[in-house]
Amino acid sequence: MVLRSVASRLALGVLLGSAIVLVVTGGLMLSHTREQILKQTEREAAAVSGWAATRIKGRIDGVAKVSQVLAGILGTRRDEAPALIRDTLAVNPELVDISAAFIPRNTDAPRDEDAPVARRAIDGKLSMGSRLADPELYWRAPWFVRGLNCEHGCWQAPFHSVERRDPLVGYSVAIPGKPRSVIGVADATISLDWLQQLLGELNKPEHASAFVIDASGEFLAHDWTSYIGTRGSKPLLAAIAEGRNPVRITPEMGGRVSEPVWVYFVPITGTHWTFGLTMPEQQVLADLRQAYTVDILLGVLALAGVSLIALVITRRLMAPLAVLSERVEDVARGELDFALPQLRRNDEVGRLTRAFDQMRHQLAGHIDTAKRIAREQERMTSELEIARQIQLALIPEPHWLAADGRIELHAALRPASAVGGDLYTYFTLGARHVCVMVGDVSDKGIPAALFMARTITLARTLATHARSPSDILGALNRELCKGNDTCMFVTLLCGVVETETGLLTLASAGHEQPVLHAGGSAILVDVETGPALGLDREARYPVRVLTLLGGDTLLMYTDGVSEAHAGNQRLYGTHAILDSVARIEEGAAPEAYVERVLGDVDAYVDGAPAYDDIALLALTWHDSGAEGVRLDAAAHS
Amino acid sequence: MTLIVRSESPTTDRSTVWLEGRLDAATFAAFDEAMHDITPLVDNGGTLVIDLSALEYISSAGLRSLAQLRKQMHDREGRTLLLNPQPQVKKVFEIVKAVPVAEVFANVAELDQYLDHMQRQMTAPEG
Repeated sequence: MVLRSVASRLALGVLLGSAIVLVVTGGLMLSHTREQILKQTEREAAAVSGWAATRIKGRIDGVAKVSQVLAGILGTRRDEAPALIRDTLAVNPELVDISAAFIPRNTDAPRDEDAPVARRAIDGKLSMGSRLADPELYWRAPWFVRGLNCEHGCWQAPFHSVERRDPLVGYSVAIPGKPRSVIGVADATISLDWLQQLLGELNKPEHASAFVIDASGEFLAHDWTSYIGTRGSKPLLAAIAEGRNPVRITPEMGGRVSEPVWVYFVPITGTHWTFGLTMPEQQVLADLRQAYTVDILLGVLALAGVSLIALVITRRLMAPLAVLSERVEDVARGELDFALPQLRRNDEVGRLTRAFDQMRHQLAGHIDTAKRIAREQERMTSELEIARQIQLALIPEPHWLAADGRIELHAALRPASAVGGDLYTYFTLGARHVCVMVGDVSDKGIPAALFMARTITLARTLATHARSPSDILGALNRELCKGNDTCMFVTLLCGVVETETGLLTLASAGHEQPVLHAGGSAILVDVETGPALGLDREARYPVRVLTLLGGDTLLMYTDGVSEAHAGNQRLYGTHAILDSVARIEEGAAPEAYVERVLGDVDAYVDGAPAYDDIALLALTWHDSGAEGVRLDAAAHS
Repeated sequence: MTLIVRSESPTTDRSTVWLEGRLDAATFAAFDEAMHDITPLVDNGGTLVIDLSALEYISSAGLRSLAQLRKQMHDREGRTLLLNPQPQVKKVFEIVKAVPVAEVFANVAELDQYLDHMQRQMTAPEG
């Protein structure tokens, strides 16, 4: 219902289109921003990690230095070892203990002096001891064996001592000597508490946690203290080994985390340690999510605004169109008198309104004209009907018995339209002659009808004193030629029958040959024709004379019969007329001839409207008694 | 079915018009209009030749048009000659005789012979 208006559809289209654009650009923006944020976090993490790694290195470098110096000194001053280590411990408060462990001169009887150790208790007091007191033989312990191989020093694995709670780690340097190149190990131990403390003091991003992991994969320090001393997860260790930095670790991958995290790490030079920073992804992207939500909300708001504006503007623009639509419906109902919307601008709507107004006025004019024409046509039709009546009044009755019944004739006239140019007529000439005529005026319609009226009237007048059809046609021709600039003409067949003898004289002015039904056969009577009437003043008309015997019938017709056709049909033709006539029983009334021929023509055109006027006249000679001899002659007058 | 009228006026004393199709009540008005433009091209006393070889049918309305055309030419001492009608059209001319049969020719040679003859008749008294 709402969508039936163009304005709503446009607003909805704008809304949908903008929404698609918003979703696509929003998606692109989200992925781009996500990358940016991850990169920025990486930079931040790298900065923090670098700083932390430097701090750690600075601290442990000091420890390494002490061990290296000690090892150098101890190579030549083995006997002063206890004092040296004690003094060194005293000036290096960060150290927990220092050992100067030499390979025993006699392993079967090791002495305390072979491995002196200076220790700092938790309360800060220094004490001296020997590594011989260790639970296992120190020269076989892994840290010692490893230390022997560290000419330039190396970090031992972290460990826990019995007395202390905090994890410890030692830096060992091989003590050079003679005759063997290595005679013992100098080892300085520090507590890793400061490392843990350092992690805590780091200026980390919120929610980030820091850790330091050693080469074996154990956490030396971790913001989550329960992780200290445990092994890092497989994906983390793999990433560190391969140097993939940063790395995303999820619980599904086997990480020891409850949600996806990003880990950034930096190796601490001079050690096999790695400093790392863990950031929960959700936290990294939390800002992004918030910003994105705000963006989307603003976008939706903008969309709603744009759609509303589109709706309002279109409504405003379309309002006159809605009125025009209603007016067009009025026009469709035939109501043309109505007010149109006020023209505001000369835009498309304004032009449409103006054109519509013009159209309405023109339409009103056309309707008036059409009504007037319809009235005129009505008048014309009624005038034509009257003209038809008048024309029919010019034609005598269709049936006539003359000469005491010796002559019987029957005729028919069928104009193709209201009035036509075909004619038939008959009348007596004096006491002993009967004249019959069938004619066809050129063309059809009103001019033909008027010319037909002129012909039929003149014929009766002019024939009064004539006895020969040749004279009748000649006189009629001369009269019709007068003032005939339009060259209208009429073809006419004129026959005069002598009522006493049945002698028939025929003359033709360009007309169709008549059909004679005599003695059971139908033939065309070959009458030599003169020019059609109305064209050539000098025209002459030869006659053909023949005697009718009892029962003979002469059929005269116009080309409306012989040329009858429908559409592209062949013309009906004189042969078809002969066939029709031949099938009529001998002695039939002339009415039967007319009806048979008309019926056959109607059947031939099968209901199609007549193409031309039709006139048909059948004359039957009833003279059973007379023993006549058929006379047949042609004469030129 | 329609009527096509083509014409050619090489000289002012003789024009030829070709008719193609049907000349009947439906087309005679178009023919009259076409001839209205062509006949002024022929001088007084000139000859208008109408070639009917492609005319398939002629009705009484068509005959009237030709008769009227002949009369108009005649009034200007001109001639209208019909050339080479098809048999069915020729038969109509012979029956109705709307134009003299002597002015209908079966071919160009016959027409030229007639015109030649006419010319000689006119020049004979002087020559």
